[in-house]
Amino acid sequence: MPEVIIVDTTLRDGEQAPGFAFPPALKIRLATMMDATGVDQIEAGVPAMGETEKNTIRSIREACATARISTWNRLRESDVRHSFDCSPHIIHLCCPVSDRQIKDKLKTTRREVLDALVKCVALAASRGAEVTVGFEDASHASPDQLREAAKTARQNGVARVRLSDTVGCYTPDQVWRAVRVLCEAGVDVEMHAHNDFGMAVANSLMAVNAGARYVNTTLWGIGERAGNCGLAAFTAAAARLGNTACAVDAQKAMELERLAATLLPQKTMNGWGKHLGYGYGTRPFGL
Amino acid sequence: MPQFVDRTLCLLYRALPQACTREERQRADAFALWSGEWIDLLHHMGFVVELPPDLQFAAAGVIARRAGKRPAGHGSWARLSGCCDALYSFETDLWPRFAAIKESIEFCPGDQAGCATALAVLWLRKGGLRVAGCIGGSALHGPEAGPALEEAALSLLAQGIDPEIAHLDKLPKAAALLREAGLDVPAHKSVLGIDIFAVESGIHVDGIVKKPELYEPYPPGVVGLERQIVVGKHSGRVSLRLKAAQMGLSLPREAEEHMLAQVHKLAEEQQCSLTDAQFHDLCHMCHPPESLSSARTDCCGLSGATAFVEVDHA
Repeated sequence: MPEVIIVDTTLRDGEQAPGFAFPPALKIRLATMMDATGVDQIEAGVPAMGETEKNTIRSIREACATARISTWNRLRESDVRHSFDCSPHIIHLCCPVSDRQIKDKLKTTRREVLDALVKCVALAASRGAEVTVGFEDASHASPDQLREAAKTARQNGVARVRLSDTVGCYTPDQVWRAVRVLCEAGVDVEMHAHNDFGMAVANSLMAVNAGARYVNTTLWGIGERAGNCGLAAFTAAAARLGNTACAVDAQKAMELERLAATLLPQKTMNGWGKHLGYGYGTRPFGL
Repeated sequence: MPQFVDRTLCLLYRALPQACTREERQRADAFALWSGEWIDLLHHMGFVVELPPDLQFAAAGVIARRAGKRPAGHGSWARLSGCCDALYSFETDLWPRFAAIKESIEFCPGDQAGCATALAVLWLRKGGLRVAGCIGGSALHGPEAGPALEEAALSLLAQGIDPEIAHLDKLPKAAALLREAGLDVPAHKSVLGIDIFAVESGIHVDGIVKKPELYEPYPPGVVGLERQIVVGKHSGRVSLRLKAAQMGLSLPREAEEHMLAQVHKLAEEQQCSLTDAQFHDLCHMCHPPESLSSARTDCCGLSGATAFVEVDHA
């Protein structure tokens, strides 16, 4: 039975949900709680944001016993150098792969993006960290574009790529096909799903079913817009459907979310974590 | 042509007690009145509404007063329920078993595994004709509700398939009615939540200014919502500039650095984004009030909200 490895991004992508602002001490506390629950990798933050963020990531690295700590970076050598200051286990590079991201946001060409990828991967690997690459807006890239980017990454020593459904529009059948393309290109796959159409959990499950070994989650499913794939929601669904084992136990994940929710101001939670047992059920007309 | 059958009234009806006491009768009356509005709205949008038996007479009266689509009957449809764990076997087992009689099947998967909307979308993408669920789905009603119909319809739309649902911009009205009925609609609920187009991350605000679809799955107006800029820990200078312009405040370039530091500090201290009032006060502190501008600026369709940092997601 294949084992799903959880990569939690609460402290990076999750915190970008409007309304959330984790102070350093809270980020460290949340990280240690996730570490104790069996989360394999914690995406701790973005070093390019500044010294406070770097100090926090360093503290998280020291505080966690077993979880590997990763940093998130744009495809810029300056970002990678900021990451060096945190000595992470893993340096993650975000590489846009859709035409629209490359042309309309970066205003460059695919060739230049892939050249930048090669340079940044070489630099990131030069200090011994594992390097992973995230394919941003993968759901708007063609199979050929995914294949080309995956092969470039693999040829430069990258073993794992993240399939990022940046605007959450993948359907499960499309996820299955995209994961197969990447697996056949010879890389390990990590699924990063958003919940814009309520399919983050289903898309993550389908990615695993197609061969992805890693799944991105956040506590309570927090994230921009409608959020990300929730840790407790995913582990519960994976346990229910079977066919995969998960390093994080579903019950422990639920307890983690319940406990972690008490560390935040209630107004911040604002409806996130409804699955924790309150708010469900129909109580119409003042019942 | 796909059909979406809304079961909200049946679920709410089931939760109502027998109307024995005066209070219970009042509640039943309130439900009947509310149901009329709900039926009108959903028919206007193109949903089929499933009626609880005791409401059918009253609902027929409501419908008779207005022109428009009448509720479709259920006589020729067999409801396929459960199937909540069918995600992995949908392609190889579930669909092949029912494909030949898809014209007669109304698919209503449970959401116990969090996959109901995905299963409904798979059903319709394969050629199934009809799904049943609820507006809001399990986030409002619990897993028995089945798929969230608005998510399934929008997902089809995003795939270039016409869901035959008109006036999706009326969904905020549906959310308001659900709140009126006592249900909690989370602000981040997919498609329905009022804050799903709020942006705080500096990179996202910048990306949205360049091309909104880079960070939005569909234009907010499609579902009757607006973009909002929230200012807080993840905000960048662009966000501050747009937010200030939107609120009719002048924020000189030389004050931006200091203002940004203050925004980040306050957001971290209070562990959440800033409110508009807090942003207004900070602007005053960082820049004298005599420089307030009365002119509001068009901010690329970004409208006000509450608070955010400077890096992105993916």
